[in-house]
Amino acid sequence: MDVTFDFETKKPFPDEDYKNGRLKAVRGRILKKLMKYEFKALLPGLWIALSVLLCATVVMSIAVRSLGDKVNLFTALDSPATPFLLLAILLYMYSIMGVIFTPIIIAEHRYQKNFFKEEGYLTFSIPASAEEHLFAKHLSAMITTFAAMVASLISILLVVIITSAGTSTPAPDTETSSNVLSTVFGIIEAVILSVEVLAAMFCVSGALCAWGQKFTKKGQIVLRVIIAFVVLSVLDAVIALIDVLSGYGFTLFFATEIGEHVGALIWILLLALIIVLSFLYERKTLKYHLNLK
Amino acid sequence: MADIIECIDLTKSYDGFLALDRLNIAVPDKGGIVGLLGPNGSGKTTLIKLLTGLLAPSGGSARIGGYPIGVESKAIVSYLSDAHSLNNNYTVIQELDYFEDFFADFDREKATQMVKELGIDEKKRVKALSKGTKEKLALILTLSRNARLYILDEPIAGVDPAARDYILQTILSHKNENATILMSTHLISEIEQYFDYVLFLKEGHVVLHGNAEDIRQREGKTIDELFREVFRWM
Repeated sequence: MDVTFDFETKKPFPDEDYKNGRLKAVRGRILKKLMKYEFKALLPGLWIALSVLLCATVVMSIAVRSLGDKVNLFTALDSPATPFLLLAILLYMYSIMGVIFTPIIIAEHRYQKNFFKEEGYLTFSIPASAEEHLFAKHLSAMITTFAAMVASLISILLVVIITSAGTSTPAPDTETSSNVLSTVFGIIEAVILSVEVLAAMFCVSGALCAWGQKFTKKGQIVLRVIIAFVVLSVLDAVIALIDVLSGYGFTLFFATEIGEHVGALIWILLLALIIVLSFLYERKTLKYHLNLK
Repeated sequence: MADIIECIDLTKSYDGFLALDRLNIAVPDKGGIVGLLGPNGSGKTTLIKLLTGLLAPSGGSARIGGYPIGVESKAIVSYLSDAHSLNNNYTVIQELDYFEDFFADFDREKATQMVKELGIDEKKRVKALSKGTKEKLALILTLSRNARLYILDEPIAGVDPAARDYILQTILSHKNENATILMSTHLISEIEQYFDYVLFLKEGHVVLHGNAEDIRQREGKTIDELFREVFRWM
């Protein structure tokens, strides 16, 4: 049955003003605004974790300094300060893990809550595209996790500097020009790989989350966990295989240095492929297969 | 002027179950309240989800204000879902900030005024509010937008009669005067006096539609009585 209502005419809505005025202003900054709300949610947890890490770093530094000239932590276990030292090491390790995992856990929780739970009704009524939603989530999570990793690295460096204070370090070898070039490539590869690893982590977990939301019945939850485990295991096996090839296999066919670079390139391409495929799957799910209850 | 809602052969099926079957609807952009009526499983929520972009159609197409369902259509639709969709960790002020940031047509002053009228503490977190107050807050946020189309999914279901009156009065007094409201409900007797038009859905098809007053006069029954008659076997 075709339905056409014949309404009483009322004054028209100021469409053009709206389209060219505030809507344009809001739409133009939508990614920035989405990211602002992501950071607002991610940062409080991270600040707490960083505060704990700061305390742990201080405790660890005091513990290390208390060893005196026994620089090696493993040979220092006969020290009278051993219980304090062990506690400090434990606290420090958990703090480092806490700092790195806090933004990851918050980001994953928000991903699930904002997209696939009841909040999804509001999230998807915002005039933003699926790509904008995904970019905002992944970029903010990556930046925050990267910041957490840098903070952890700085903390470890501080402890190492305090540990090695007063001991002499050997002078570095003078590099040849070919070594310098190789080092530059190595740094570029390391930067690209680091960014890709972070992106892949969030995109793959997002894709698994997106896939899992299809199964909401009780019995399906167990199935979902098993399949997610199998998918991750297969992915892990493929990555391990590429890792072996990149670390050793390619050096059989090329000179050692070139072999390492070819291996890194394969890694970069593989991760890029994983990121693109996961992102496309997430996008498809948000656009066509939402299963909000 | 483009129709505010236009559905052409709109179809949605879930794993072989046909929830909407080639629905053709055209609602002109001239204001009024359209009652979307039908029993459970008739396709009301599916239609609403398709119009708000929460579902993708299996066939056909829908447009809002001439725009295909997407970013542009979402900018002119203010949607109140039947689920609690606000962020529980936000304070009321943060919810207002959120709407102001993302909806170009959000009227902050109007929202603040309504929140004050209701006596809600702006500094309270949403999770600390009662169920009824949460629903009222969601309604305030939805109606504080100067949208062209308001889509309200069961706005008075599950609230006490006093809250129902408040919600209905709020809808009538605070909606954008030029806007159209598409409202789904089971509680027809409570609300039928406000309908300008009604649309009866049954098993994914439109079985009755038209001007509410014309239907009452033609059939000699209220919309509620007619609803009970049409769906008596459901």
